[in-house]
Amino acid sequence: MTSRLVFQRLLAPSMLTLAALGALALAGCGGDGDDTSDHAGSHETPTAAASETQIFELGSIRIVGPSARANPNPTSALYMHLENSGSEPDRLVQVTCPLAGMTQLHETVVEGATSRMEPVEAIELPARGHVDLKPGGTHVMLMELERPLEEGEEITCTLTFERAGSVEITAPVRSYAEAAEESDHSEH
Amino acid sequence: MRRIWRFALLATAAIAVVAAAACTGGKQDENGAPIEVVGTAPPSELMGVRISPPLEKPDVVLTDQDGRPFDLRKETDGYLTLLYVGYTNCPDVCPTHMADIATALKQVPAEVRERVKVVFITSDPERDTPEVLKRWLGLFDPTFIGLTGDKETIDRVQMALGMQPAGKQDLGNGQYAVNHAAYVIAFTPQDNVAYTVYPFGVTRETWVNDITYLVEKGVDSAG
Repeated sequence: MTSRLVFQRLLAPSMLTLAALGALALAGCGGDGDDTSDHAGSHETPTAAASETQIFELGSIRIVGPSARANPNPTSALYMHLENSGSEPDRLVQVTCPLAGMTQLHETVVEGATSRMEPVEAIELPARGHVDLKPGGTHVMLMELERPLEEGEEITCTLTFERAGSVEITAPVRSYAEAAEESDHSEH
Repeated sequence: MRRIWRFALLATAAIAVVAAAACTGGKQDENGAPIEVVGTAPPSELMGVRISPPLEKPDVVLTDQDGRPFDLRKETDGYLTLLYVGYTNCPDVCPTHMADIATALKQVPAEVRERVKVVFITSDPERDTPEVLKRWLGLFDPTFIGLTGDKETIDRVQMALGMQPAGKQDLGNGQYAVNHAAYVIAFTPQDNVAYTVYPFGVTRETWVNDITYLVEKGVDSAG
C-alpha cells in the first residue's frame, strides 16, 4: 500500500557552490604541509552525506522531506513538501502523532505589524500540483507533546488525505538553527 | 540571477575567511606568503524595509531572563538593537526569526557583532517566565536577551511599536496562540531610532548586509 524510500539529499545549487568552495578551501590548506590524507580524494561534504530526504508515497501523493523542530517547550512544528501527480485534487485533513496530545493545521496570517497563527480545516493539494508546508506559511502544529522534542530523534505521524486515505510517516527532528543555516529563504 | 550571484559572492567571501582562519596559526601558503584574511566588501545600501515615520525605542523597564530589571533604553543605548516581540510556544515564525538572526550574526565581523544586542520581548508573559525565556533563547544564542513583564506594560510596548496588543486565541484543550510581531525592528546604535524593519523571510544576505551597515554607518535620518 505504501512504500518508504530514502534518498540522499538533493543538493540545492547554493549548497553545491558551498561544497565546491569548501573543497577549494581544503585544497588551499593542503599545500602548507598539513596532514591532509583524511581529505585527499574526498568530494563529499560530511553534512551532505549525513542528511537525507525521506520520501513517502500514498497513491499519487508523495510526501517529501518531512521534518519537525527541536524545542524545549512541549510544542513544535512539522513541515513537509506534498506532491500530487494525480488528476484529482486532494486535501490533507488530519495529522496525528502519538507523541503529541493535540495537533492542528495552521497558517500564518500577517496584518500590518502583527502576525498570528490561524487554524485551518485542511490543506489543499491541487491536481498535478504541490504544496509546501514551510516556515512562515503553513505547518502542522504539535501541542501537548509528551516530552520536548530533541534534535536527532525521529517522530512518527499519520497523515490523512480526504481521497487518498492515510499514510504513516517518520520525520527527523532538526534544530531551528540547522534549518536556518541551510535555508536562506531564497524562494520567498 | 542577480541575487544568486550576490549570495555566491558572500558565500565565497565567508569561505575565504573560514579557509584563511583554518590555515593560519603562523602558517604560510606554498609560496611562503602570509595568508591574507579576505573580508566581505563594505555594504553600500540598506536592504531592509524602510518605515515612516521612524520608531522610537520604547521607554520601558522589563524583567530579563535572569530575573533582573532591564531598562531597555539604558541597557541597549549605543548598540544596534534588534527587537522582536513573540512567544516561546510559537513553533514557526518566532524561532525562525531568532535562528535567522543568530546565523547572520555568526557571519559578521567580530567588531560588528559586539555592537549588536538582540532583544526578545514575550507577548505571552503568562507562560514565558525568565527561566523559560532563557532556556528557549539558548537554542539560538545565549547572549540574546529575553524580557517579560506584566501584561499592561507589554501591551503598551506593543502599541508603541505599532502592533496590536497580544490577544489569546483559543486552540482548544486549554492551548492558545498569541499574536506577535510581523517583523524584527532594528534600532540604530547612533540615535536609538528604527528606520528599517525585517519581515519574515528576509535573506541571510540582507541580514548580514544591514547589520554591518547599521553598525558602521547607521541611517541618515534625512535619507
